Amino acid sequence: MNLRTFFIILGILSGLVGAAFSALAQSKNAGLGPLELRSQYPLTQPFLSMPPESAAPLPSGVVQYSYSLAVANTFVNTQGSTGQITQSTVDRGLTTDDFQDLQGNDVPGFGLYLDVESQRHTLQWKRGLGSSEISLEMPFVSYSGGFMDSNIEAVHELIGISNSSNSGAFRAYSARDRYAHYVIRDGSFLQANEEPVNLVSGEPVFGWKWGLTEGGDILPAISLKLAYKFAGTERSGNQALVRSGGADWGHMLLLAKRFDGWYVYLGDGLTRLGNPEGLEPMQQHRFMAMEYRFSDTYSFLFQQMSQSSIFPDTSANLYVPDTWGGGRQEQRNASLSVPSSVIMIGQKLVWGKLIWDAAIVQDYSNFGNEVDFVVYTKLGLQW
Amino acid sequence: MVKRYRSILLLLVWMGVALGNTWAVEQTFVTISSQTGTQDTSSPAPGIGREATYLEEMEKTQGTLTSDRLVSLSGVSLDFYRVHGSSAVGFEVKLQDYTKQYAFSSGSTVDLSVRQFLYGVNAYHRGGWYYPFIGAGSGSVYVKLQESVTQSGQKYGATVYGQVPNPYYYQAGIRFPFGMFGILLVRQYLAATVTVDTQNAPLELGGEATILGFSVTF
Repeated sequence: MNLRTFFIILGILSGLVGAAFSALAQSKNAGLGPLELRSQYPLTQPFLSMPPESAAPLPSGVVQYSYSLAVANTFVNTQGSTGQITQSTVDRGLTTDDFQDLQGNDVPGFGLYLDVESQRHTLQWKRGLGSSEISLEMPFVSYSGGFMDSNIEAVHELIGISNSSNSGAFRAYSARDRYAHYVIRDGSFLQANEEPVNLVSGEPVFGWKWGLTEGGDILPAISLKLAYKFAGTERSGNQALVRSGGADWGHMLLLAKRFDGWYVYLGDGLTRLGNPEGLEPMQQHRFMAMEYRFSDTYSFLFQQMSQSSIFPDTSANLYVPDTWGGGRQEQRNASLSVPSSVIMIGQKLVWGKLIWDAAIVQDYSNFGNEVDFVVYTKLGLQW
Repeated sequence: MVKRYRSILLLLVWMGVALGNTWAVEQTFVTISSQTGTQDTSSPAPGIGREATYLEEMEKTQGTLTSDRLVSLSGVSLDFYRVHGSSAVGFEVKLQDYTKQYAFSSGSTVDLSVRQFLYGVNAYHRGGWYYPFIGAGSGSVYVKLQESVTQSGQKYGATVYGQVPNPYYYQAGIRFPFGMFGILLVRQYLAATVTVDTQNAPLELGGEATILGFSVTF
């Protein structure tokens, strides 16, 4: 049994026990809520993702319109440790041969050269409806070389991380602020693109959140979120990097509990991808968020978000003879299929009808299957 | 299936019921503690742990395991809780690290570097000079595992990264407060099993731990 089943059982129990404790239900276990930032990894961008969110639906009749922007810098060079892909290699154009191992063999599994800065613009509408909430969102995605490479490399150097090492993602071997998007599997390109992608519309997502209980002094608020991403039919050219072409389903169980000025949010969910195209068809999502409310209108947030890898397990040979100085490429790439986690630090502000969120995100797993760094902001009106 | 998590569910329900009977003056505290202890990875957490066979699989080809399976934990925790008279309920986040080398009679070794990021709920009884508590939760557990083995006379190396997607723990402990400072004793039971692809066998990263901590409460 995994945590979802555990939460479902806990939810049923909470409902039963909640009836007995209903007289104690004096305060709502919902602050300003977690930062609603989904995975920004370039390979997950076309698919549905379940972001953290509050267990409390909007009050019935309340409407929220918002615009959010996530600028995400991703750099992965699976050939970095052997120096097979550097700036000069990218200048002449990458081929599948560049992803072979040092013995000249195609590498089983995945290889990556991702030098991507993505901008995900999202327009969202939400409305409280009884004890539930419905939402509709539309993303627009751009990929380019961006502007953050030099800043990230400078921070790495400041804290003692070498940009010529695995910890620094071998960034020093590549040109800054240049866009290159290569994904290879079993010796063939899945994705290969160096033409910037400008504001391509993604596929709309419909959401429905059902507030099961507001909880009380003892029990948490509990709700269930369901989401559906519509399948786009037009996927020519670079649109395939933004639209999956499949209908994705997702669900997430959400819990929230107040401890005076502190609020804790937990969530666990799953996304099923309609058209994974060789990638992992099921994505697990989990988050933990802590909110400290300085006032009724201003909060500080710390979040941790984990999700399973978009890369399926491969049958990589993990043993490398000590006599092989360059090692075995498939062994190094095996970590791409490991679940990854990011931390988020941010703030939320409510000023009359205006809402404003701002946050930064950092990947600390460093497995090559998550973004390096994200800057996020959301502006909205709610009444 | 349900049986496996029965203890956690019963614990959570008990916490709710117990605290419901002790409503009084409310106040919120934040406690930060530095912790050290030992974790026996050969003892799966009762009720939630599962059998792990990775080291036994390694023994089949690399000879007898010559190391013990105790690891030294060090970590920090942040705990905030709301007091209701003589009881309190709160949320705890803790980060614990350890490294360990397993050695085999053939000379082969397995080096582990493990980070346990755990979070969950605690329920306290405030008994004046002592605060016993129980808790349960989940989190993320990360491992970097490096094998150095001999096969057919040839030395091989393998590095495996892993993250346990669904670790669970429960714990019982007691804190002795001295003004804003305190001493903490915790018995922690963590189920965190990762499948190591080299042997395609599970390895227990958690187990039963005894932890000593020094705390500051604000």
